[in-house]
Amino acid sequence: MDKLKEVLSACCPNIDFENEKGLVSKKVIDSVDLVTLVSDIEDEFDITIPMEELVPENFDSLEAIWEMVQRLSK
Amino acid sequence: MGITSIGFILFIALAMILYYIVPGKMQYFILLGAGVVFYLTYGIKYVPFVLVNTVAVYAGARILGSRELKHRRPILVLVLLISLGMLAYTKYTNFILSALNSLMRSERFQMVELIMPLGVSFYTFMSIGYLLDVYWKKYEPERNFFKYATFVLYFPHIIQGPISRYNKLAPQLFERKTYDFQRMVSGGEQILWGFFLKLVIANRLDILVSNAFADYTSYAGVIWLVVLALYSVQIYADFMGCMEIARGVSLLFGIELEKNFDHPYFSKSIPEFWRRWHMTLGSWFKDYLFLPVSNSSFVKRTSKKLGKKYGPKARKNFISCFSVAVVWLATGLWHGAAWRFIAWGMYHGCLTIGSTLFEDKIKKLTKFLRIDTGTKSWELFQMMRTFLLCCLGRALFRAPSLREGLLIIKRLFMRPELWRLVDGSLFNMGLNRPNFALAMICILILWCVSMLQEKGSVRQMFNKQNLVFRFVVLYVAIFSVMIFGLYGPGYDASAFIYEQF
Repeated sequence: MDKLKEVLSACCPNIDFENEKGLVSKKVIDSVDLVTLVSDIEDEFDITIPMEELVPENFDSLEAIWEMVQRLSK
Repeated sequence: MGITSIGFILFIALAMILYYIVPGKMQYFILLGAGVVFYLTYGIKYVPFVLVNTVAVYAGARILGSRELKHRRPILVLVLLISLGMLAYTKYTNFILSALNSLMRSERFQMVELIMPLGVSFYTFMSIGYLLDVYWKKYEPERNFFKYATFVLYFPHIIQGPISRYNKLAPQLFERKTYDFQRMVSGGEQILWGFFLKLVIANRLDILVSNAFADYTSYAGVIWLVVLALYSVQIYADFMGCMEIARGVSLLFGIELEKNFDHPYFSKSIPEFWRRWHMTLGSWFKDYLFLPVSNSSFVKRTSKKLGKKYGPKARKNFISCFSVAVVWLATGLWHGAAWRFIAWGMYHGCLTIGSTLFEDKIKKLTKFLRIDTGTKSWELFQMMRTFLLCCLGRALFRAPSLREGLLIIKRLFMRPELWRLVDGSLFNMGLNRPNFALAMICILILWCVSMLQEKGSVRQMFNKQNLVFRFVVLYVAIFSVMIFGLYGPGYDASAFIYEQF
């Protein structure tokens, strides 16, 4: 999870990823941030995030992103 | 069958009676039947296109939903080729041939006589959205062909949208509906408001706007400024009016269609304007074009290279600018096959990209100039600036050609002739003084209602008032639409309402 936190903070330094629970649904991050995050996460964890995973539920919080990363890493 | 015609009202009444008397499980067949009849009233020649599209997408989605299928991409590409191919063939063939002729400076390619299927841009996008969702495994494909056809042919949205999503609309289409008087009243009020927007405002302004664009060299810059502002109101009232009628009619059947407008002229920036104008098209482009393009390997690879060389800001700027440019090119082409639409799309693309690239610099500049950006006056300035930028783009959108659109914009700046505003020129463009004044009063009503809607639902507020007040307002509204509405040639009332129409 720490590694993920580092990736997220490097991409969007002004966002409080630990406490924010509506990153996409409350429009805290925009589409460009989302795509940049996807690219960085893919590189860092050596996974591919397919289009069907690009839904708000998977990117709304740090925990949701972590859950998706773990699922796709298997 | 136009949606503001008496025939349409009778058609709705008949469909509603049948809808509420048949058993719940059969209700969607009434919607399907009504959709087929409604579409057929525009001519049988359009039917093969919608039928092929519906069958191809239904079958494609069923195959894509199969768990045994190993190679899914070829199926997706094939169905996309069929669906988009029909759209491209009917809409863009002559544009491409004409462009090739211009490029080769010859008349080698003869123009083809083509049928433009009714609502093709809308049902194609709805179908592709469904197909891609199934391909991306967001939900299972529909097994029942008639249910899928009901979604595509649902008559309130097939002609002008909103561009509905299958997963949001389907549960409403297929659940049992019972008659609800309050819902009928709400639907009726929404339809009435739609008629007011379309018949009283849009059709009235259309006379002045059409006359201006038919003879664009005759008018001074300041007159063009007024015409473009009125055209911006006209296109809003026209499209919004149609949406209100469509959503109101849908509500009569207990089905809520998505909102397509959220008071776009109150936007403080161009990107915000596009989040509030034709919202279902914007969200369609975001989900099915912007995200796939910006998530493509080319964009990822290139943006990373740029990021390493010029920093993270450059990386994000590339993703944003490239994807926005693609989306705006597609948006321009979606609106029509002409250079002026492409130019209009690129104009808005440049404004959107510009507002992203210069966001920080503009913030610094306002800080440097000590502008208090928290005041109402600054918000008003931002709204007016956004509205004027939209008006400028409308010249390209509405002009007969790109060249004429550019000449109109040139006229705005090169020949302002401000005195024309008060010498009566405005009343010689098809709308006499009383009708011009009436148009202004109606625009004021629209503005007041929009302001109230920003604070909450006007219909809910209205429905809480006492019965006598509501009856009086509704009667006045109905008679206002009947008296002041412009119903076009062939309708008797128009002869005394508008002599020049």
